[in-house]
Amino acid sequence: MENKKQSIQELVDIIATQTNFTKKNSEEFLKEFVHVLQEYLEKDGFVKVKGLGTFKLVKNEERKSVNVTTGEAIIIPAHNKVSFIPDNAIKEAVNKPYAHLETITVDDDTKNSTIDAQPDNTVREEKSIQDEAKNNSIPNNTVIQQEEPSNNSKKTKKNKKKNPVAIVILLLLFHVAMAVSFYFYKTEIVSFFQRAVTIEENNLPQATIIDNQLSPVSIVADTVVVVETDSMPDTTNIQQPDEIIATYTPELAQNAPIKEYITVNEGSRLTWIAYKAYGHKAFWVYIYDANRNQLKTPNDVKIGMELAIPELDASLVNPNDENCVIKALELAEKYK
Amino acid sequence: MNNKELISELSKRLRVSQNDISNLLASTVSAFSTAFQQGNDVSLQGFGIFQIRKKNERIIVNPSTNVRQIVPPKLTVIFKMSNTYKEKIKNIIPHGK
Repeated sequence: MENKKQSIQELVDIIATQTNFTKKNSEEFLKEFVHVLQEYLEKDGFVKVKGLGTFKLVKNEERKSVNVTTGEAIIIPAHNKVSFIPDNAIKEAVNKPYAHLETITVDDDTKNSTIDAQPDNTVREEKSIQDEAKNNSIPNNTVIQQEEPSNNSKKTKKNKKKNPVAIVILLLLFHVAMAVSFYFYKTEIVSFFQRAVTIEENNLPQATIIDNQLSPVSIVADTVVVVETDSMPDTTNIQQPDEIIATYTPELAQNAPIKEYITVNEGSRLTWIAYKAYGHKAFWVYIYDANRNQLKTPNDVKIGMELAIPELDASLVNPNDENCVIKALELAEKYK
Repeated sequence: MNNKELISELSKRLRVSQNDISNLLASTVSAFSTAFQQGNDVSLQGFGIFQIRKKNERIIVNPSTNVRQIVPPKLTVIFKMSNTYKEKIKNIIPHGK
C-alpha cells in the first residue's frame, strides 16, 4: 500500500536543507532526539512532541491465549508497549484526502423504496470519491470497493431481512427499467417534435404522458424513475442541513422536544454536558438556549440544577460536520 | 516529558541553543508530516516505524435514538515499535513524574 519507506537518513537530508545546519549536525540531532525519546519514555512513561503527537508507555496485563498451531493454552506475560497518539495537526494533514467526507444519517422511517435506493446511492457516491482519491494518489482502492457491496447487503438484511438475491435482482430490474425508460423518453421527444412543431417547449410531464399511452413497460419504468429522483441524497441530505443551520434561532432549542434531563454534578460545565449529550463541546450553546429560563448567563450553572437537553436535528449537532461546529462556535462568540 | 523539557534536554546534550533546537524540531515534524501526506512510512531505527493506515467506513447506531449513521473512511498514523525496543522496555516500570 505504501509507496516508500523513509529512514533517518532521508529525514536528515530534508532537515538539513530546511535549516542552516549541516547534514552531520542534523543527523546528530535526530539520533539524539530518538535517544531522548526512548530514555524519557522509560523514565517518565510519556513524551509529548508538539506538532507530532504523544508517546506513552502502556502496560499490558498478562492474559491467556491459545497457541494457534498446537491448540495449547498459553499465558502471554505482562509487558509494556508504546502507544502513539498523533497530534491534531498531523491527524488532519494525513486525513486530507478524505477530509471532505461527512457522516451521513440513514433514515429508517422513510418508505421502503428509499431504503432500497439509498445504499445504492451512497455506494455510487463513495465510488466517485474513490476516483477523486485516486487522483490524489491515494492507494488501496480495491479494498474498499470490495467492502462496500458487503456493507450494502448487510444493511439491507438488517433493514428488511429479505433474501439478498431478491434484492440484487430488484436492483438489476431497476436499472434495466431506467435504461428502457430513458430510451423511450428520448425517442418520444424526437417524434413529439416531428408531430407537433408548435409546442416547442416540451417538458418532462408531457413526455411521460405520451410514454404512458405507448407501452406498459415505460409506465413502470417512469414511475420508478420518479421515486428514484425523490430519494436522491443531494436533495434530502445536503441542502437541508445548510438551511437548518442558517435559520437557527434560540427559540428552536427552547421549543425542541426534550431528549433527557442531566443533573449538574460537581465540576461539570455546559461544555462537558454538551460533550456527553452531543459528542462535541461546541454545542453547549444549544443547551444554554434551551435552559434560558434558569440560566441568566452561560456561567450560571450550579450543582444540582436539572438541565434540559433539547432533541435537535442531527444536521445541527453533528460533531463530525465542520459547518455545525463553526456555527455553534459563532453562536458561542455572541453569548460571551 | 513535555515539549519544553524535550527542547531544553536536547539543547543541553547537543550544546545547541534552545532556539535552534526548536527550529530543528519544527523542521523534523514538518518532514514527518510531508512524508505522511505522500503516503510514505517513516522509520526511526531502533525505535519503531510510523505507518499510514486506512480505517474503513462503518455504520454506527446511537443506542438511545436508534439513528443510524455512516462514518466515512479515514486515514490515520499508527506507530509500531521495533523488536529491539520492544524487548528493551518489556519489563521496565516507569516512575512517572
